[in-house]
Amino acid sequence: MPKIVIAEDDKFLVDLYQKKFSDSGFEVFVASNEKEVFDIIEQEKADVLLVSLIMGGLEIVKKIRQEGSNMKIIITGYYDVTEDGKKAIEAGADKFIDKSHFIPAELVEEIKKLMEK
Amino acid sequence: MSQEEMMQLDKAKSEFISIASHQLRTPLTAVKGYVSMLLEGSYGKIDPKQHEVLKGVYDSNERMVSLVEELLDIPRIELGKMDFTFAPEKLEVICQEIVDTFVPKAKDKGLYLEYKKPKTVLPELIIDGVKVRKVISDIVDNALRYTTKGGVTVKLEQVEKNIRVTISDTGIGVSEEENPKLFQKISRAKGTSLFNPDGLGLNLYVDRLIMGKNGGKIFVESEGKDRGAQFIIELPVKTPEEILEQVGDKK
Ligand SMILES: Nc1ncnc2c1ncn2[C@@H]1O[C@H](COP(=O)(O)OP(=O)(O)O)[C@@H](O)[C@H]1O
Ligand SMILES: [Mg+2]
Repeated sequence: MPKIVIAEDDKFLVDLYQKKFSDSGFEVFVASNEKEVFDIIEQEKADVLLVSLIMGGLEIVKKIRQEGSNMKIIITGYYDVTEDGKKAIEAGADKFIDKSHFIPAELVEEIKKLMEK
Repeated sequence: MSQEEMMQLDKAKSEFISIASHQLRTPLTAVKGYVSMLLEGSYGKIDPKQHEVLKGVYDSNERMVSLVEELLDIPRIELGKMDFTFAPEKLEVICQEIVDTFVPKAKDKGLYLEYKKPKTVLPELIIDGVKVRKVISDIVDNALRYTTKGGVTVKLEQVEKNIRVTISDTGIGVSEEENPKLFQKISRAKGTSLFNPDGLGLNLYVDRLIMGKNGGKIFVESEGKDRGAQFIIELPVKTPEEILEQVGDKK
């Protein structure tokens, strides 16, 4: 079972993504701050990280990449900020996703696609 | 106001926009997510009536999402906070994708939506593909909205040193008097209801600014009320030297 860490800023989004990813065959771990993200990644050897920009996504990704990990990382945010999308990729994320245009089912699809690569 | 005070005000405004953007969209995203999962049956089986109601909630929420985007675009572009990323793009692909997305909407309204492809292979353009796509989508969306009989044709062609996209409809048309006003902020032609629930009348204003940033133009021609409208988008084909210059001054 693939393991995913979810670090979202909004409790309802956490709830949603947690349910959708569990229903889709993932083992889900919720992190509510940067420290928890790193603790879970280390303890659980997670395969995927879904982290929002607002949770400090860029910094977290940079650190993970510095440590040499190539786990799949998706940063979520909102479209306005095409620059944010670019920054996310530059920081080392595999993808930037505009949450307001993705339903959870589509998010799962995107992540599955990434994992196949 | 001093130069410095102005800059501080701009900075405060920009910060406000990004906070507002986040705060407004987060609950909309949650609604979208929950309703989509209810519709999928993730929380138990739903009957057809419930499905219909939830679809209504979903569609209303989608409308709210685009209204929020529309509203936030204004200060963003006026403050120069709209970022442009220029890269080679094929307009054939962009137009095809847009037409494909709008076909169901046209069908729902009983309208045709036709795509007239160019006869030759067109040169790639150095544009912000995401933004130009938004502009063309806005125009096709309007064309379908302001048409009740007939339909919409999207035509792509090269005219001398320009690539031209013409979106023609058989709808309510634009009078001579209204024409110059359409691209103004919060413009709304007479005869289209003030309470048009689908838009704020801001798109064309932003669209023209976006086309300007891409070195292009957008304008409308119409034979008058009820005789349809043609929105024309033109983007210049650039020589390699001109492209270098354009890319150069963005750095
Ligand atoms: N294809 C069209 N035919 C006739 N009128 C149009 C068309 N497209 C736009 N308009 C007019 O231009 C106005 C401004 O368009 P827009 O900026 O997209 O705002 P909105 O569609 O939200 O009202 C519309 O309210 C309508 O009066
Ligand atoms: Mg419109």
